[in-house]
Amino acid sequence: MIALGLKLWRAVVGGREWLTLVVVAAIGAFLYVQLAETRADRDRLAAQADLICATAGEPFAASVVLVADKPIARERGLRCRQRVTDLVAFRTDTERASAEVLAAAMREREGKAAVDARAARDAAQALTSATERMEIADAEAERRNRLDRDWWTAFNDLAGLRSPDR
Amino acid sequence: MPGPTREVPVVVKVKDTPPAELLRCPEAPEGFPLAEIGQLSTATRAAAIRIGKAMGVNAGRLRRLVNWLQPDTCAAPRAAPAPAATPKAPG
Repeated sequence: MIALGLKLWRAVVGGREWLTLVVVAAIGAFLYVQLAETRADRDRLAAQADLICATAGEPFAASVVLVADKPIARERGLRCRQRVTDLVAFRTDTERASAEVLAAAMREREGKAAVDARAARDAAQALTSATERMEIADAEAERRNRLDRDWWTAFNDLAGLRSPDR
Repeated sequence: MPGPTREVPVVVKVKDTPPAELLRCPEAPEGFPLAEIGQLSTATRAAAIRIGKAMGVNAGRLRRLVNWLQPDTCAAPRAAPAPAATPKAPG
């Protein structure tokens, strides 16, 4: 048993260069696999970024834009980021403006309803009193079998006609 | 290629205003002369009262409608004369 151990030790000590090579190769293979995975991951992310930015309407890749006829380089992702920021702001502004318009419309309607409720009440009261006066005058006309000044006054009032006296 | 432009939300308040023809206040023509003394049968008087009442009610409703669509367009009708102002009391 001890002899076997000694033999192995000698083999290890004798083949040190070879063993170092094996270890280095193993590390290299590990790193290579890692790199390949990282690259695949990066490509997937880049494709996703391209897709998302294309959906938003601006390219993800670096580009040159003309601002006041001067070419300006835009780094990768900048235009897309700006675009998304604008879209978010647009959405916020739109929602706020819509809420303001709706609130104003509701306030206006409430005001109108209040004014109309008053007008309706007044009209109902006026109609009731005009009808009463008409009934009284009509009963009198029935009794005397003639239409006098009261009857015509009550009638003009009930029908909303201008009084000829004025 | 032009630079990115910022979109501004456009809020349009749609005013659904009817034609001016429909927003005219109800007409109030001058009524019958008060001095006329006449005779009408009961049925005819009842018909006249029905028609007159409907006319007044419709005018009031139209006034409210116009005021709803365009506030303060039609003034309320003149205050009805108090019954006590009539010279003759029934009976």
